[in-house]
Amino acid sequence: MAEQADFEVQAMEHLAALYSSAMRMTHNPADAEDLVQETYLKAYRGFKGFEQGTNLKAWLFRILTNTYINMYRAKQRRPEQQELGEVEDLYLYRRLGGLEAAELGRSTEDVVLDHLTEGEVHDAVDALPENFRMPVLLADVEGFAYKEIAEILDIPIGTVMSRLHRGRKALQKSLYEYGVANRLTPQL
Amino acid sequence: MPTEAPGDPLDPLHQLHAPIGAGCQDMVARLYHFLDGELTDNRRATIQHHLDACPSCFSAFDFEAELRIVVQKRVHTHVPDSLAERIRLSLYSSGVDL
Repeated sequence: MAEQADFEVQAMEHLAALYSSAMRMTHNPADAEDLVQETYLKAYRGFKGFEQGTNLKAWLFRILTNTYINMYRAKQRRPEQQELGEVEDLYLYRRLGGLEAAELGRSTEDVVLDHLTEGEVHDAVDALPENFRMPVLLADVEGFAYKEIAEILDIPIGTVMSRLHRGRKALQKSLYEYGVANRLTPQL
Repeated sequence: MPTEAPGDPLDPLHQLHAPIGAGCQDMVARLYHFLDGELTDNRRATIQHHLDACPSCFSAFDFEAELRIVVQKRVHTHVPDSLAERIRLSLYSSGVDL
């Protein structure tokens, strides 16, 4: 049973990351819990095929993504592939960057944190079309490399890069619209 | 500025800090590859060199890096206390013997 213990010790370490991503995929706690549980069960069954020493977190995320597609996406009426409009570079910085100077002695991070609550960030992320949301989450939140994201989502690396490029800009616009604008406007 | 439309991108206050120097546009194009750690050492050094000399690019890069930390913090959701136990039980009762 040594391997069972190995699986638990190694895989449960990634529970928080998997659950957060599952929440942003399914948008509700009950589905996210089911999705993560199913992911662990599949991973457990397939653990013999996992090559020790390779990236377990990436392997678990690949199972999460495939499980999600099989369990949930078929039910959704929303088209899975959507396009995004053009957004200028540094969209949020051009709107928020000046505030730091106005709030002397505070770090950029603190100023931005004040302008974005957890709920607002969730709404902004959830508003992205799924084909852009997942690459952005995997790169910016989970810190996966382009190559790992390509393997997790089973898309070419060039597609990962172009979706990240446009998805990040769209996220900034979305963050502005869902969060920052609410508080920024009265200050002007 | 009471006449300013909400979130007007033309608000001069928010234009002041955008990188404007020669070569800055090229930096912006590589900003994310830099932050993602997906550049060769040479290209990384070239950008670092520019950042050391260009306060407006440094400020923009710093903002993007900090924004990413904020999004990470906000996206991470509290895991329900019961979930880990529920998963363990489902593994034990799965009948799978590794």
